Amino acid sequence: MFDVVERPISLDEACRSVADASAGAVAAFAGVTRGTNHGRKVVKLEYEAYREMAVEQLEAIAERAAQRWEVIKIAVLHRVGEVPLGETSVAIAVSAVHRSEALHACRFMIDELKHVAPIWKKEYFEGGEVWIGSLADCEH
Amino acid sequence: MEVEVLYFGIVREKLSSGGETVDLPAGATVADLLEVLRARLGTDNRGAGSIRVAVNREYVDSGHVLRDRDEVAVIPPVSGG
Repeated sequence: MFDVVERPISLDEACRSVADASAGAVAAFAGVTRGTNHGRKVVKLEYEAYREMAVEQLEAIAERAAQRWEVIKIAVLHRVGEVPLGETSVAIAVSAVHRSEALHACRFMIDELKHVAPIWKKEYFEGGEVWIGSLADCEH
Repeated sequence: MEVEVLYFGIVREKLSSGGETVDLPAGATVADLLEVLRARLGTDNRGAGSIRVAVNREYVDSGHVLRDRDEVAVIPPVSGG
């Protein structure tokens, strides 16, 4: 399951969708909106996506993961729109026969997502707002 | 020829537009389109080089030749997760 949605998401939802009778392990990752960034107090976060391409990119990343590790199922859910602080912005789950493959593939999914998925985060902090990683913003 | 250009994130905000139809000469490349765009985004924009482009939802390089009715997405540095 790969999707970009404008509603709350959860690790449970991602994990349920990779359940499989042959799985001996499920590895999961949640990205959570943080209340501080570079010493700034964050007020809220907003995400925007090129939805159709983002979903295709997630599928392509999962195909690359499946070529490198023996995984059974992969799920990625990314939330867009306003995401209140402390809530899940991305949920990833990978099932595999053994833990090592599940853990490696899960790490790979989030690292690649951050490089290629056409999704953008705007941070609203006390005294301003900034598109993260973008043009005038040199922070990483 | 005409291509459908989509803007996202900071580019969408700077141009106050989610996208538009752009008229280009036949044989125009992604680089040609970006040149037009950079002028509108402001030449002092040191980050303009970090913009990527996807044509029909696939990343392409700047030499890619555009075709009539392509869907061209202007992709500023991504920050999902």
